[in-house]
Amino acid sequence: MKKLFILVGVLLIAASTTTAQDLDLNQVLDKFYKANGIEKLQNVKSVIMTGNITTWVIMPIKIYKVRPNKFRQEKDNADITGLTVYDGQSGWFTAPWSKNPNPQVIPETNLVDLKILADFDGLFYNWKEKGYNLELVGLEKLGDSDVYRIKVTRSDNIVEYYLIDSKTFLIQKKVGIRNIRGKDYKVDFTFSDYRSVDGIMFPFDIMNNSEGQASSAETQYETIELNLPVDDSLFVMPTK
Amino acid sequence: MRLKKIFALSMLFALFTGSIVAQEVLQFRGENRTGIYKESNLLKSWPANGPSLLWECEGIGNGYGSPAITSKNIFIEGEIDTVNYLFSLDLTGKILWKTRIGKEWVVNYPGVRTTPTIVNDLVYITTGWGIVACVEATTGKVKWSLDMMKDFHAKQITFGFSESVLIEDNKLYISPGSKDTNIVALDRFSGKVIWISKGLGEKTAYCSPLLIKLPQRNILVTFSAHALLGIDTKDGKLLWSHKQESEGDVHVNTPYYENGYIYYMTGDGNGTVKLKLSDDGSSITQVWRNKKSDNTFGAFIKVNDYLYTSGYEKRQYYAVNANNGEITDSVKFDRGSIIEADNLLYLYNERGQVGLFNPNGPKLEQISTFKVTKGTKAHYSHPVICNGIMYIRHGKSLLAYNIKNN
Repeated sequence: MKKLFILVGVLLIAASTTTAQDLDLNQVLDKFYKANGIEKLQNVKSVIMTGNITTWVIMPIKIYKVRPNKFRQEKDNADITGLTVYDGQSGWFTAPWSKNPNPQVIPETNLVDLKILADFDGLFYNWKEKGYNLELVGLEKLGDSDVYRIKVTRSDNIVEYYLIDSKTFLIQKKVGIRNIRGKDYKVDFTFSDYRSVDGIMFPFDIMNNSEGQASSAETQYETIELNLPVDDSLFVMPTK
Repeated sequence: MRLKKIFALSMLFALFTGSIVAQEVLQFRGENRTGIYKESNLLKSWPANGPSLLWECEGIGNGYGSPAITSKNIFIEGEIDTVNYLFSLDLTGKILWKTRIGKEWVVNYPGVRTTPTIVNDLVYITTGWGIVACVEATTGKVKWSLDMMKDFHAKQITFGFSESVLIEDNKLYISPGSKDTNIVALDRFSGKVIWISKGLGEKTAYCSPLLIKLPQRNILVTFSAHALLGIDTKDGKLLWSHKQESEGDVHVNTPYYENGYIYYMTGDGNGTVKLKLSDDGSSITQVWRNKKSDNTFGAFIKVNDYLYTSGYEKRQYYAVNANNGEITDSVKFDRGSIIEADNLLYLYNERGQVGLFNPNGPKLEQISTFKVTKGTKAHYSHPVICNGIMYIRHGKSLLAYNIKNN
């Protein structure tokens, strides 16, 4: 009887330690997809997100995403709306507060971040086909939570780490180092206030504490709407 | 003969009453620019969705300037296609006319920054590029105008001219901020120069000045880039200045005067300051400074022994003890502007929330709140309350809320 009790105890301890640690990358990703509602996302054609970015000022922001990879961000700077757009093949932006108020093409070499933002199903989904490399680094503590650290090597060889909660399988953080003009800056995004929109999980709060910016930047979405009509002309680069 | 006597008597009477009835100036933040509106019987709390919206006037152009309201009309400025227009509305929000004034600021935060100043039948306005105009209130006809950049060598400032002009009797004051033509008194009927003050020769600092009336002299109090200035309004003589402690050159808030003390509030590390003004107004002494209370353009309200305002670095509202400068309460309501009416505070923050608060001495107590959902762009304007109606300008829209306690 005593032996049986010890055996059960050992098994229980073993089981509890393996639940988090014994998952491989594919298992973590499977759980991530399920937790985030990727199946439901497959049926979504468009997402429109509206909110504010708070730095030392409040900048209204509106994002349009259209499957499979169109993206448009309208963001106010000094109360003037600037655009950052990816039409599925190329990117362009406007910065009317600058000396050049006309639309400008984003060079191909600077497009990877925008392509990731435009990727309707997210960076992890079909990652091999997209030219990324993913590795499960391991399990670690983030505050009181256990999180999986996934190393992502992008097509431009920039490395980023995603920390995924071992219970909710929602992304908690994105960290890394970004070299800008010869200087390394820490990248630090925290994702929180996850809410379900038609069964798909979205972080309504994204805190950017990355180095190299004047202050932290907190993006807070007020509304996220799915499958609303989005005019294709929004992605076409105007001549003026 | 008898008729002649009656006429002479009535003329004398008219002159006499004319000299004792104070000239009513309708202006930025109300009487004396205090932000305190003499209203009564207003709602003591609001329904969950806020007070009822009486009307919305769309199409007044871009801007952050508040309306000035007479018994018959509402005057407000707006920017349309880089041009400043003065709009006259009736009290139901219908646009009666608009008058083209001149070039408006669109370099950053595009739109009008100022509130019209009205004396009797004349309206005075300033554009972000420094055009000053006098307009007939009934017709919209421009009586005179000048260009501070051309006429007084004003220097362009980062966020555009933001001074709502101050008027004292027949004089109108403007702050071009050039080295030799720093502050100018004009004849408000003709636009002609009465005096020019060199001040400290610094650039202007966005401030809508305060007028202090003392038995010995009247003093114009305003900011230039790095100092608070006290200027004798008789001749433009610089009486005193109070140097700022940091490099910041944005000092938007109108100072406040009461019982021999001047209070001012500004950001960029300068904070809130209390100054003792000598009895004859010729000198000042600093009483205290609190750098944490650093409102930059939302103004402040003094009720009894406390100042109420929002911070800038920290997005919260404060109660500040006016006797010693200590912050006695902090309330998380983002940051923004503040006015007072009927013993309650009205807060309008940069997230578009309007709050009704009780200024309970050292405590700032929230009563009700609602969100402005109409209008465009940033929420930077100062609310106005007139005859039980709260007016809020949000970009291209002017909104009128019924806050009467019926």
